[in-house]
Amino acid sequence: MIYALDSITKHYTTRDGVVHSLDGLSFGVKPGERLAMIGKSGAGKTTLFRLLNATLRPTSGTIYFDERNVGELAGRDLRAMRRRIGTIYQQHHLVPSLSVLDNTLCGRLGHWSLWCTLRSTMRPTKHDAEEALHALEAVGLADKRFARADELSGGQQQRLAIARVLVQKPDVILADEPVASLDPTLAENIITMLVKLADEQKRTLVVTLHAVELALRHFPRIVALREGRLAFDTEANRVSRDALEDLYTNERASANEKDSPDAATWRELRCTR
Amino acid sequence: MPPHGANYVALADKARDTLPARNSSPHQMNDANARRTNGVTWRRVLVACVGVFVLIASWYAAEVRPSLLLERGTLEAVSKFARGMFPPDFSPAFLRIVLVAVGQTLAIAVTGTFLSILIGLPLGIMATATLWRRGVLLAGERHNFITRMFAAFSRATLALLGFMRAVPDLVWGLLFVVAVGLGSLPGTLALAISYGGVLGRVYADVFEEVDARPLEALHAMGATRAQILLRAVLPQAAPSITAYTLYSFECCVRAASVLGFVGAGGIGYEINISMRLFEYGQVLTLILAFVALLALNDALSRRIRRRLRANVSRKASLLNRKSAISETAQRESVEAGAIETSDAAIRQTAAEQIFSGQLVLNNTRGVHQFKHQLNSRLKTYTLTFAVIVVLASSFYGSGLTNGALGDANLFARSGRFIGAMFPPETDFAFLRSLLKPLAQTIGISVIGTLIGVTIGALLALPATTTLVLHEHDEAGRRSRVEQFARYAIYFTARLILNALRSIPELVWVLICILAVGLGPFAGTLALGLHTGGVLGKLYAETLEDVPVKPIEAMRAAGARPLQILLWGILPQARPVLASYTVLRWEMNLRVSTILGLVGGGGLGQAIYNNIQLGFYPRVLTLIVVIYLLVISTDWAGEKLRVRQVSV
Repeated sequence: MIYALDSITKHYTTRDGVVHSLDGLSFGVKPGERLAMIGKSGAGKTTLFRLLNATLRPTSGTIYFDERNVGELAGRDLRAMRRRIGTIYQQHHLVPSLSVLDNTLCGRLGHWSLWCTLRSTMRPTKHDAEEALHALEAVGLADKRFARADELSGGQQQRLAIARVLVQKPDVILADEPVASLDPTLAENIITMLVKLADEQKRTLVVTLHAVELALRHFPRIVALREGRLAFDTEANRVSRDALEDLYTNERASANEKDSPDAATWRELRCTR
Repeated sequence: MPPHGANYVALADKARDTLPARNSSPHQMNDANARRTNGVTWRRVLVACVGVFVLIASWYAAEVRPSLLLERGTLEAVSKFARGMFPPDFSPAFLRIVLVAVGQTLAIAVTGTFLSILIGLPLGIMATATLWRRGVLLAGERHNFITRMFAAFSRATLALLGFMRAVPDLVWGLLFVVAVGLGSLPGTLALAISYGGVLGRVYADVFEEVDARPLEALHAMGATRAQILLRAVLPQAAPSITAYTLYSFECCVRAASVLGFVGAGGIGYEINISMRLFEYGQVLTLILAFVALLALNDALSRRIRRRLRANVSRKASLLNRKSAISETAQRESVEAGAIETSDAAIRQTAAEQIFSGQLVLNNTRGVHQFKHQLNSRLKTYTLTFAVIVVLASSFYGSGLTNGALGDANLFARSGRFIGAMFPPETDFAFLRSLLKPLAQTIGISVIGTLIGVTIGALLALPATTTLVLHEHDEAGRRSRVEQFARYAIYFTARLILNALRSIPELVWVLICILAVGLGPFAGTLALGLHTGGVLGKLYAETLEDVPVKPIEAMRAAGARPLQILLWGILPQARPVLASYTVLRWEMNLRVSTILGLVGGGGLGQAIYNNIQLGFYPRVLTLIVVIYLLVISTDWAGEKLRVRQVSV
């Protein structure tokens, strides 16, 4: 098990009282596994992501990463662990004023010593530069490397975020809604690319997706969250239409429209099954 | 895809600046881009050379001698001062003096603000370009002698406002002290003139920026200029004008506190006296009173401003609704306009615009009525009464009404003083002798800002919450000791920054004179210490306000704090940091012209000396020099800031 989650709870205290984002969640992830998380927005997927990449601490419960208790790590050990986990964010989280190349190099930060950091701020080493360029080639952005990150289109920014994770050489790739802001064709391409890159290097891939159809097509294992709890956790070909409708119909009434899977996906779903 | 790898490695080796030529066009474009941001060009070399030259020249002009700081005498003087400050003097007799001084400062500030509004409003109206010089109101008019005269008059008013603004308030204070004698009256007059200039300019800018369509509509109806001003310009400008006037009152309180250094009453006067009597305990008490006054002032104006903003937003939402209504009405009128001529339709639209212009007024009135009903009449009367009492007592306290104005001698004396300044001294030898203090002033501002940037940058890092403090639910084990140490570092840095910032430059000058003696070096140090406090706070706030998402991504990838700073925070914050620094340098140049009034070198010293010696024509020349220096700095700062933004 690369990840083992043991009855994870996360509460937020707001003005309106305590919000239970995650409520006693337990599951595990095997090395090299490919899994997609689905669920309505507000089900706790993003919180779960921030717990998985160790930028947030749970209110209670334990997370084990590679047999080690994340809650007991600090300083150097914590950074070393984070280095092994690559995260791709929904809104890309790039530095807008840096060039594409520099943004890619940001993925190397965890590998650099203090001295190397100072030197690399002036000029990257040959090795890092090559790595960055390979990664940019892999996502097809090599010719854009001197452009500023905020000059890129949405799809290009997403590819850049992927390149940044590639140079990090993590054991696990986490992607939180990587295609939420892209059109369907582009989304398909990005997911295919992610799956291919993860497969080539035997990396674990954990993705949250709103497009259920994409998730079912590309990921062998589906984990569904509802109101901070596990709704179901099963193989993709065992996911029943009823279970899916159950997961989302409740949402239809409450959540706003843009967060629900779009009508096209639903029609497609109905046709294929 | 062509093999970029080898090319990039070569490129990295050559420090990204000398790129081999490429064939395909997008590459060329990108490479040109790279050269633009990273390359070494002649222009850059030239700019760097000029920068180094300015720094070296400033260093010499400001007579910076760092070795002086480490001398035994310096350290002894500083430690004597520090020891002398404790315990602060809290004896009842002295506390009474402090109380009177605080009251006097407030009186000067209130009266000064009131007079500056009285001066600024008419001048601002006169200087507004849309009313007198260009724009819709004048487009259809024939240019005759009268319109031309008005335009020229308006332009002259603008120049006058610029002059009133550019001459520092302390110089105005010194001049009025000579003209009308010591006390709080000269301070009040100085504030009135100096902030009259500031407010006049701000008012003119605000009037200029109001929506021009209602003006056009009223003009088309044949309204007079006064009517247009009252019905279309003022109602639109009212919220921003109120906000700016409040802000200017805040600045007036600050200014009133230091005007005493040239003999114009208030807290500054007492600080100056205690300093010269070597009563450092009293100095500390006065500084504490000063800081308390400023903090109170800050809190009060923040409260008023928040209330004002709530009002404005309510008004705005009302306005939006109304404008939506008038838009539908307009559309209907156009549909109905099938039977009318297009000319009539235009008239209709114009009428509707007037209608909406009036609505602005109606709404303000409506909101007031609403508030009155809510707060009850009694409260309104009490408030009005309180305002009148405050104003009256301020007028009394500032020495405007206790017989001073009735004194015929006063006017005669001021008249003689002004007469004595003309014509300004233009003797070549004198002009050449001004070069040294001029260079000193610029040198003080440059090196002082540099010291400030250094201090600010060093203290801003430990004062940035996002760098130093953990968020409470951030992952990772934390020990109590570490947590405590982090808080200790953070609060120490904030405390030092606040202390540096809240002590005014002129007090710093007096302290630095104790340490390194009279002269530009004391002024430079003083300016650097105060600027360090101001910039440190601004830097820390900027670093905290940077978008957090990229930083979160870096932290998740295992980056250490220094890496987050270098790769995530600084690249995003750089333009803001640079523009704050340039802005502060501009302000420091103004300040460095007055540091000399208390012995900090530069042009201020020359003014002070010549006033003491009674060479009034020379004083006038010096004022003109300061004016020219300040306006050219404004221009240079504008240029520098535009460059920063484009980079």
